[in-house]
Amino acid sequence: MIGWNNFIVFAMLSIVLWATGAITAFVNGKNLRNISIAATTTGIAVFACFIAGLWVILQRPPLRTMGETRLWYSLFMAVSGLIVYLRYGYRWILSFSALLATVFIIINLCKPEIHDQTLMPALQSVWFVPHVTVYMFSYSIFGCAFMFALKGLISKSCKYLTAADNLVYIGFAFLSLGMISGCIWAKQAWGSYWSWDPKETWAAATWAVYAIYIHKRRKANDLHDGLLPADRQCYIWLIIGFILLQMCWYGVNLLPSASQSLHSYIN
Amino acid sequence: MIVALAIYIITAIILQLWLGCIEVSIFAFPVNIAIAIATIMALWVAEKEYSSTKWHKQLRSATTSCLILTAIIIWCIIGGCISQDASSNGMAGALGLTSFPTSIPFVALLAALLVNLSMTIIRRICKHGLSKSKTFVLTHFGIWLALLSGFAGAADTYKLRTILEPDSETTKAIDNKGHEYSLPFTLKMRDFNIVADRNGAPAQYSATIDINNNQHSISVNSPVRIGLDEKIYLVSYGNTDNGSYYAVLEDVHQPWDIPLLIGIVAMLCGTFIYAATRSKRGSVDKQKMHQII
Repeated sequence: MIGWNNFIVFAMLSIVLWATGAITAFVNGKNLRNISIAATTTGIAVFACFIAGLWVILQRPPLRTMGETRLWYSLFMAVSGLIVYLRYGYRWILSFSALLATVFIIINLCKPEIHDQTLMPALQSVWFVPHVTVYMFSYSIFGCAFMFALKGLISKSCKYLTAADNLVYIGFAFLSLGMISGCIWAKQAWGSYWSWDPKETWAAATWAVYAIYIHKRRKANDLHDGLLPADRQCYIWLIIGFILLQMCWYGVNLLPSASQSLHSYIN
Repeated sequence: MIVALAIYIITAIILQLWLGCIEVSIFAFPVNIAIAIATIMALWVAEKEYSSTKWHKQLRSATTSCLILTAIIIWCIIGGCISQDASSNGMAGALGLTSFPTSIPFVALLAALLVNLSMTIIRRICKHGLSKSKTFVLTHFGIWLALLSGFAGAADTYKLRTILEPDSETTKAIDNKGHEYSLPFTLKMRDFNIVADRNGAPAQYSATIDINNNQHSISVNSPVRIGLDEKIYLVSYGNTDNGSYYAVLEDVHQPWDIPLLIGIVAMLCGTFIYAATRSKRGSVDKQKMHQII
């Protein structure tokens, strides 16, 4: 029976498979590329099985606690990394996405939050699953964009901005969808679309950062070598966006304002 | 433009220190509509008469949008870190940071964003026509409508709470400042139910209430609509002295509900169209990328 007591088995298996996929991605050869894709995909399937099994055991979507949302982030991080690898062929992206997914798995192993809690009445809504999962998926997309920003700054190249643009447009669309599904749910539960709750405030700030990035990249072209100040600024915005989304996700719970948050049931 | 924005924000901060936070009710209908129409007309005339001037180009530019958004982000970060307590008397309270959504600097920034958006949309339509700007207008008009509805809606929205005990009825409710109001309908509770989970904790609660002798079932996430812009919500419950349950109901009147919803849905559709139709600008040569690593 799948549960938190055997999470370590699924976690280790997924990490090994993702690591295999990441390593084989660096070796030339079509067969090895296929192995890389197969290993990463299998790792994703194993992890998804754990989440699905947890859903069945808990008899509710595993989206209530911080530990449960970390599961989804790890899953979507691996998925996003694989999609970016298939689309753009960057060999290093599988390593970075596997690493980031592993970090959150290790956090879960070190800080398990295995509260078998029934969903509070406010969380029993058709919007619960789409709101949280869409947000987690957008966070994973922005995680990949963050990796491109780091890579671009380290290698002093603007070549990663084009791929980052595509990721940000997709991530921004899903971020907006997550935000709006939350607005509609809030209206249904609390009577207001938006009440400047601390989590909503940080969500608005995160949204605005990526809106700024999109506007700054409107007329940019990457037909030059090296890194212009404008390019560096765009990479920095991606890093700021990633930091803010982490704050919105779990950092807000550490702030004094957290006690006033209507989202505090996530703790 | 940075200097102009800095002066604008400093002026707003000075006004905040002098006047305190904004009392949103002063913008209730028809003041909000009048200001909105007057502003749009003024901006339309400005587009026709001054569109080639330097100040107009700067005010409608994407650079200005980014600057305003940056200022909003900073104010949100500060406001998001501080506990919101409107009664706070310290420096943070004086600056409006403990009630930042109604602080003059924040409202001023949102107003600036609204003006910038208006000018951008008007310019786009005048220069390129609506047919060639569908996605752009859909996205930006959606944000504009949502912002405007939120602004105007804040002034016209009211929330009134009342406590309903078993077999009792009421026509009174109070706002968040404790002022009592008469409701235009009678509320009576027939029944209250709590469903416990396997650990005994409340998993769901609901009530059967009469609104002007019409029976309704109400629960969390399932409010009762009593008008186009009015709903009653079950927000909480408690125990009476004799061990039964009372329900805490909230009457929410939000006339800008539908325009706000239209705005956010339009914005969402626009962002998805942008993401879906985004051209592969500078398409990546996978072989070349392998060499970069």
